[in-house]
Amino acid sequence: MKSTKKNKKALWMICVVLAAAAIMWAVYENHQKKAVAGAKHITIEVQYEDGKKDSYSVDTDAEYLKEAAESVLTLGGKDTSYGFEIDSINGTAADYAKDQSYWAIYVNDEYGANYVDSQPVEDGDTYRFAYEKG
Amino acid sequence: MTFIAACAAVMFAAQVALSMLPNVELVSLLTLIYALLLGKEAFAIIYLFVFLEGMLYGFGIWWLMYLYVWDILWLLARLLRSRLHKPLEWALVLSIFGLSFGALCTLVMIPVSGLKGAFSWWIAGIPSDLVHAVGNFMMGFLLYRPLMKFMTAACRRFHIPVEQNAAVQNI
Repeated sequence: MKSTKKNKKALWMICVVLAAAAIMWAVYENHQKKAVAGAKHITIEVQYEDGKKDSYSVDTDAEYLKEAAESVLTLGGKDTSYGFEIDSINGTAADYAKDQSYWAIYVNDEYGANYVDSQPVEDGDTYRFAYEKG
Repeated sequence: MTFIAACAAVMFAAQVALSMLPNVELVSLLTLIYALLLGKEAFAIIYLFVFLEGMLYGFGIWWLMYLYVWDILWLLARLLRSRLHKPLEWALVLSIFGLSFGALCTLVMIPVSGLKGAFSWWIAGIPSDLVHAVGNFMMGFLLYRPLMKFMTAACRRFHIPVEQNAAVQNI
């Protein structure tokens, strides 16, 4: 009897975990922007440490920002298990380990939530790479 | 004090050793075990670990998340210590913690990027949270009992008082 009660508890917990995971996945699927193929016109900006800003008007078929950005910028970095980590843009390096500086990505002036190689490109959007310190 | 430092060092070494595997970590399981065995003493271990993490990776925004996120797991362990006994049950608790990790960390993002930005940040991290949940479950299911036994024996060996709660007595 006691064993059945304990098993029920574990079963309930499994149900809670699976239900939470399913709900989270559904939220992700509904909200996450999907990459779309086809021609897009976007703006790419780079804001350097001294505040200087470059702006590029880009016509691209790229689905993700990295490919579109590399058509006008020189991106330095490395592939990590999370995504492509930007170390430098046009030769300007950011080193978080050294001085907590990094290249942030803003999408239409909102702090981006994706790495450059997983950020979907949408027609009309503005993407800004900003040199920041943590 | 030496024992606490050693426990924090184990936690830190485990984090660094597994850092190449995204969201697969032993820190959650160790936090749970320290909380169950040592009670409030576990706070000293957690904050020593958090300080070491800051020293290694830099004191960025993520570090602010670390200041409270492990305390939540500590609290969860303390609240459930008399109700849960089996490794499977604790593995499921760790799994729930893994699922909610991104949401808990999002609190720090609200002042940085606003509510909408923080929400987007949480959404983008959901696949990582799912991996975290699976990783935590596996770690808990496979290693809860052996680590609990090892830590209990280590505490006895070094005359560290261990709390006698149902979770500890049932290993």
